Amino acid sequence: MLAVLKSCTLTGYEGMLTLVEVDVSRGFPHFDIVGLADTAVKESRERVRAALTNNGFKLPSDRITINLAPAAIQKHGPVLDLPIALGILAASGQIPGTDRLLDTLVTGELSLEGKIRPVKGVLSMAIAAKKHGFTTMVVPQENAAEAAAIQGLTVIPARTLGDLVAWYKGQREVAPAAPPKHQGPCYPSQYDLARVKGQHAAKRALEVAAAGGHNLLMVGPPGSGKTMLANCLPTLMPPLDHQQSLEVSQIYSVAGLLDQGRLVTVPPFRGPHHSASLAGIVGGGSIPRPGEISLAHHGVLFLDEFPEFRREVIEVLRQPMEEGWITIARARASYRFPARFLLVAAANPCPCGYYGVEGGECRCTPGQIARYRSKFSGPILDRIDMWVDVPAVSYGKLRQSGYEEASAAVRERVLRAREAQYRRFGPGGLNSGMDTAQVETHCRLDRETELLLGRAFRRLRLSARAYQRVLKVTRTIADLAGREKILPEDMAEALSYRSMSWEGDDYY
Amino acid sequence: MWPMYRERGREGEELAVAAALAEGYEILARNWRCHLGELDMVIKKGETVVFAEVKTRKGDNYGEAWESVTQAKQARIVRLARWYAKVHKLEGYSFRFDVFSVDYKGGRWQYRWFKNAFLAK
Repeated sequence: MLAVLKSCTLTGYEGMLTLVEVDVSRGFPHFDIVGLADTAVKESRERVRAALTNNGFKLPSDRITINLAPAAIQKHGPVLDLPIALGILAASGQIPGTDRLLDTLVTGELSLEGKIRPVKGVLSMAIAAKKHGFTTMVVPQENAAEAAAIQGLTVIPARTLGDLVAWYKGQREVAPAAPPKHQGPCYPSQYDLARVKGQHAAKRALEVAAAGGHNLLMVGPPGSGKTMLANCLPTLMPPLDHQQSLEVSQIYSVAGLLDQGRLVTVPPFRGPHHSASLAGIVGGGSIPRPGEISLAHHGVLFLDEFPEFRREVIEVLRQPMEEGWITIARARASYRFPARFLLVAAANPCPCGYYGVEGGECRCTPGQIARYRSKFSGPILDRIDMWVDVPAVSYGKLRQSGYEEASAAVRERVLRAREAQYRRFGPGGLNSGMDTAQVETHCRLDRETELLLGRAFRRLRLSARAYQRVLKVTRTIADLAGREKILPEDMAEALSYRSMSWEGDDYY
Repeated sequence: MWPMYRERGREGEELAVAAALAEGYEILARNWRCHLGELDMVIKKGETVVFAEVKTRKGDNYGEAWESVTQAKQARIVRLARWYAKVHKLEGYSFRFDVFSVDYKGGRWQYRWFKNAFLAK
């Protein structure tokens, strides 16, 4: 007899509807899985065999052939265990092939004793289920919360094979998983701008970066607070909207990083170490997994000790920074992961960290410093809109108990500035994403501002691209002030983010 | 083969036949030979035809009897079974491969019957 069950596998970060066709017929005993199954799928044979026999079912001693359609696309992972087991039961007449069984999308990994284990990427599968018109979906209990976030889908949490079969037969009812309660965005409490003493220039730069989505480079000696400041940046950004939240959560679901099925609601922060491999940063592996840049989608990618990163890692960031996507090509298929992130790079002024620091003593040779700084030059630096110095904090400043503004207050201003941008470019549009024509239209300068820019252009030896970037930052600064018109003071601030204290040194 | 061993193998097979009959199986063939080798026992119940390998061993110095049914031996039995089914025009049946392991333990002969012991591939 034949049974066809519907399930879902992952290609990249998206779910793909997969048919599990099970044929049990007479003949020499045989159990084979065809349809480009990888090792984990092939191994499901053994898990299914044990799970069936340990739950009082029979693995028929017949010819069992399982086909996974579409047969031309590689299937990964153990997510098909459950539909294969149910398909065998239906095809061998051990459970009736009811509508409940055949019109439901089924996912789950089996343990040898028949427990249903959680799988990765259930959120993506639920989205695919809805897209293909399914109304009911069976998922492992641990994954029920994330699937239930998709409206219009009845999610049946499955605990064991036995329980699930009883549900199919109608002997036992299972309450569908309740959609997650809408809770407010939950920012990490350990990071707040109020906890950073001083560094007002850097804080202001963070605010501008958060408002316009501008990439940022921080330079300062060790211990000056670069890492702490970068960690605070997501708390200055408005919470993710529903669509963004789903996109980011999908990536986390596929990576198996979703915390108890709760959706990601605030901009994520990723700070990979500089020893990270290329595949770790951009995603990859034989079964492509999202990398750090995708995990930082709609959030912040922080590269501390930026010059220590391998050059090819830095260079590979260029494509996603332009397009918001990373494409990973494999012999069998090519996968696309979203990667629209705000880059924050941090660096010391020299390898030892104390070059130009008051009271500090730099031990580097001129050659070392030149080599170190050469990492900044080139196309990547061109894509960084704002450079800011983070000087060491003096003892006096540290002990001062002055008022420090909290992240939430800054976030309010950022939100207003973003609203101005959304009105201009549509939802999600940011000043940093303007093209040349848009810069022409939206960054009109009066005569005085024009003159200021003209002088700076020659003094700072700005490139054409840098010129565009200055204008975009200027636009954001005016938006933060709630003005449509750009004033000379906005331009002056934007230009200050184009010059580094070390500029004019012989090394640069 | 030493007559002594053949005798012992014979005893094991008798034990297996008795067990199969007790469970309501019909004996189709014993020691069926062809150019590919020999099938120890072909039995049938309902619509299922079973090809059974009977292994007998005295003492467990070399492991239990069933352990000697290796991959290569399984493949040989499968080839034999396919030939048997063809010769006897067995169509529309379910087939199964069983192993009888007959061991001398605790001062007497005991058997273990592994149903569906291996697959045809």
